[in-house]
Amino acid sequence: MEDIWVFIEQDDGELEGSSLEVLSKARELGEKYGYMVSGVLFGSDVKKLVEEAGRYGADRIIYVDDENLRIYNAEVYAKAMVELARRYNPNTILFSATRNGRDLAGRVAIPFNSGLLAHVISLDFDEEGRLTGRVPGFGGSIAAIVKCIDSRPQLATVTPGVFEAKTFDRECKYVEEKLEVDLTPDKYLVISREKSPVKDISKSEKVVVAGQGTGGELDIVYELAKLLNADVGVTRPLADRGLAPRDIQIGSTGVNLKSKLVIVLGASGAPHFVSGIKDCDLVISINKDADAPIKEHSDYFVVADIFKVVPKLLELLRGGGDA
Amino acid sequence: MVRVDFGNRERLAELMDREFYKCYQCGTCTVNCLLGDSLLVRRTIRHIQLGITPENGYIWKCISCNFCGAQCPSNVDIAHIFRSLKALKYEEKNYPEKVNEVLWNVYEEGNPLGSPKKERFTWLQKTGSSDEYDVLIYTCCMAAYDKHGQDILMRTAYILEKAGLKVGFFTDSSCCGDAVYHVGDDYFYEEVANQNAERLDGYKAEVILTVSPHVYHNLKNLYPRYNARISTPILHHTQYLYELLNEGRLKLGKLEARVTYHDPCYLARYNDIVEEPRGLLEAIDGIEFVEMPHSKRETLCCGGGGGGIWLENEEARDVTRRRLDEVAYIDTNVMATACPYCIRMFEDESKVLNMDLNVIDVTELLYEALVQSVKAST
Amino acid sequence: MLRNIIVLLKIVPKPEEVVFNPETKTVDRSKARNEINEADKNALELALKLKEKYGGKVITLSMGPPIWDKYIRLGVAMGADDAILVSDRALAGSDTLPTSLTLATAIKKIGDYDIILCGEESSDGGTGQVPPGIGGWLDIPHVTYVSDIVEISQDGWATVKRTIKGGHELVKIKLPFIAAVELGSNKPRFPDFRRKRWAEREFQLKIWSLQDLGLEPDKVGFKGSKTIVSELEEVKPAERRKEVLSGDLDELARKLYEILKENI
Repeated sequence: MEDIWVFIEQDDGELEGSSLEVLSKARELGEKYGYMVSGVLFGSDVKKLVEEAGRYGADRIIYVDDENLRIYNAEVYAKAMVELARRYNPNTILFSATRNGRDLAGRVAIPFNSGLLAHVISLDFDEEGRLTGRVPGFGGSIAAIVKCIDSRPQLATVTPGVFEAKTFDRECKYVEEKLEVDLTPDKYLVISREKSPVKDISKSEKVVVAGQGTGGELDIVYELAKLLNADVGVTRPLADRGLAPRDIQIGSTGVNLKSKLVIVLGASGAPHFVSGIKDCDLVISINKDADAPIKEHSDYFVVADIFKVVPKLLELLRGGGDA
Repeated sequence: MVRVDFGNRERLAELMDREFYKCYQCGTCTVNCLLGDSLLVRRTIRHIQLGITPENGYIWKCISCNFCGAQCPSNVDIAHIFRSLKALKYEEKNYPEKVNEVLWNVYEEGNPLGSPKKERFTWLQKTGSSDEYDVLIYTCCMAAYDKHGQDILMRTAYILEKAGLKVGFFTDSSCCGDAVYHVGDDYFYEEVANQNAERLDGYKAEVILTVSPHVYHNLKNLYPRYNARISTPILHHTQYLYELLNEGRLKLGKLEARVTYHDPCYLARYNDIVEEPRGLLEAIDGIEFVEMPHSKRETLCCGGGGGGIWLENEEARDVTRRRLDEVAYIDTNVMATACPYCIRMFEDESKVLNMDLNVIDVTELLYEALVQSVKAST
Repeated sequence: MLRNIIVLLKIVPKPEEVVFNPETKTVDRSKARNEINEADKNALELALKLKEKYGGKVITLSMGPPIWDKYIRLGVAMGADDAILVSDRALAGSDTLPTSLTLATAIKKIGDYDIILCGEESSDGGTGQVPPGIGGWLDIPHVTYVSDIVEISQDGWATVKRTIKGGHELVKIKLPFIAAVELGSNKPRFPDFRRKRWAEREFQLKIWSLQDLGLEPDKVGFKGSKTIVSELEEVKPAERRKEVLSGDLDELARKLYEILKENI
């Protein structure tokens, strides 16, 4: 039976949630077309991770346990993936379109001369077994339906957040592999890291988004988010200025929100941004420019200076608003 | 002891048309500078006289209001000296980060704000193109992308049409280049100026009209220095409307208001246009016109010129406030002016100060008076 | 002194000006103005900074139609020393695989390179796959999501800052390498308009064909691609109420408060 592989990303012992979404989707495709579904996990001391990942729909988890694989390394991971794929000849390898997933997929495609679908938002096989997906382009306003042809393995990266991670009550096998290739990096060394925990806002129910119009003064944004029990996101220019991490940047080069409520403060509505809020239930935006394009993408469009109206709103939210 | 660097002095002298030699260091400029001590005008000129290029940084604060120049007993063109310094610093690639952004915006979107080029004229209802106009309006970026500015443009057009004129907008315009000129990029400015002049010559019009003193000054006085010549006469709207008034072609009704007028630097000091806007206001029956302590060539400044409006010039807010203090002093809540920069600066700052002040263009009062007269006659 | 610094420049239509025709299911780029892909400008800026610090020659490399000429010259006006355009009808329809092969072949032809820089992805296609792909074809290390190149040391290693989830890491990478530069990671310098005049009037842009590269036509274009686009569709924005609220600030705040109360 042919195999669909899903690269299960982990970082220093922490599983990347969006890989599990892809794994659950692979399970669905496996059932539909009769493929075996394998998760492929690289890491160091991965026993627990492997068992956790196994719950999301895999028939087996193939893993390599090596200190050199503890965190992502472009050189080492590509070597490992290429050797494993040569050994098993999977039909398809799927990656979550995280930074590392895209990085790895782009490199692995070359030695196999593989077709690679980029950050798809839907995934299927056609009648000839060709991997098929929707690929958004032009800032998310146009999607192309793209297929892999004459490729083994066929590859795709999957946009995080489009599929749901589900646990399955089924048996999963765990296969540890030893590689022949030397995994000691010799051209690419990660020498230090600086990171703080970030909340994955792609699944937040409520998000307050700060745009250029805030001028980078985010106090009222955080205050509003706190009172609403919401998370904070930003548009690209603010992330460019280093005022917020890229992980909370909304839009086609960042996170796509699926929130029940999003409040957009001072964002004009550039196409690359609005594609990130198109799946939200209710969009309220506040902008002092009555003609800002964000109007077209809002349920409620409030024409006002955010620095004047938001403080008043904060007061109401604090005071219970019945006064 | 500081010795004169003759070589550098000559280089600076060429750049500044030898203006600084006229200076005898009386200090009137520094005393009068609207930015307080930020610019150290006299000292800067002294350094130049010694052949020392002033250090970078503070020169970018100059808003080219030329209040200093107007007071100078030796008639030194101080604004020109400072703008030349900016050009020098630009050439050395020694400029605030914001300058880079403004230039890209003008290059890519045709305006310093960075607003999409294709949205420049979305507010324009009818775009009936014609080959010939009596009046062709050149919009200022500030007006084209601002609701209030758009009103001013439309109302100006309305008044002109009521006077029986065929009015068109210069719809393939981009920025006049004022911001580019003031950040000192001469080569880019030359390209902008020539491109605009060439496109303007593709229209047939009796007169090119602009609601911005900056556009006016660029087209009329600066473009020719960069070999960009426009064959059609260029007028500021207050000049042209004043002509129409004198020809009896504006029928104005009555308006009750106590109004003052703020002279934009580039109308009053740079181009000596002071009587026309006043003439227009005084022609409206019922208007009580009051002058502020500083007016005409002695006018204060909104703080927005010389590229200041684009460069996040915090010190310039003091300049804006100083003018607003005078408005408060004469106790009026209608301030007419005739420049999109002035309107934006005063509107924004008066809101911050919670002032009850209506900042409007002269044209808007004329429009109201015109509407009154139409109402009265029906 | 560094050897050649090669910057990949792609010219893209402004995304907001691209029109989709739902009937013919085609993208009309003809009315859209073009621009240098934004992230590629960040790559060029980084290259120019490296040159200022370590020396070397900055060469831009593009693959596209001859009409890109004007934009490539803008890159020269920004400070690139040389520019090459790979242009051949047979390249039409290339997906990322033949694109990275073609660019890698051109890079070999330029030769003598230490660093290859490009934007993390392009705003039209936006796959981000070309940089690792080129690394693969050239068998050199690649590094993606780079916000800065901190140092290049004498022993032939560079230290780069790479964005990761929740922060960044420093990666030591051996020269020569290819780096994909993060969008918005620096402020690209405004072109020097005196140089622009020279770039437009006197600079000789090198145009290479497939033959110049020694590439067989069936390795590129539609034939060399391993993916096909079967259809295009417009991603329609969700229908919104678009209710405009304006007026008195207190009333607005009150109204907002009520809407929020209803919905949370």
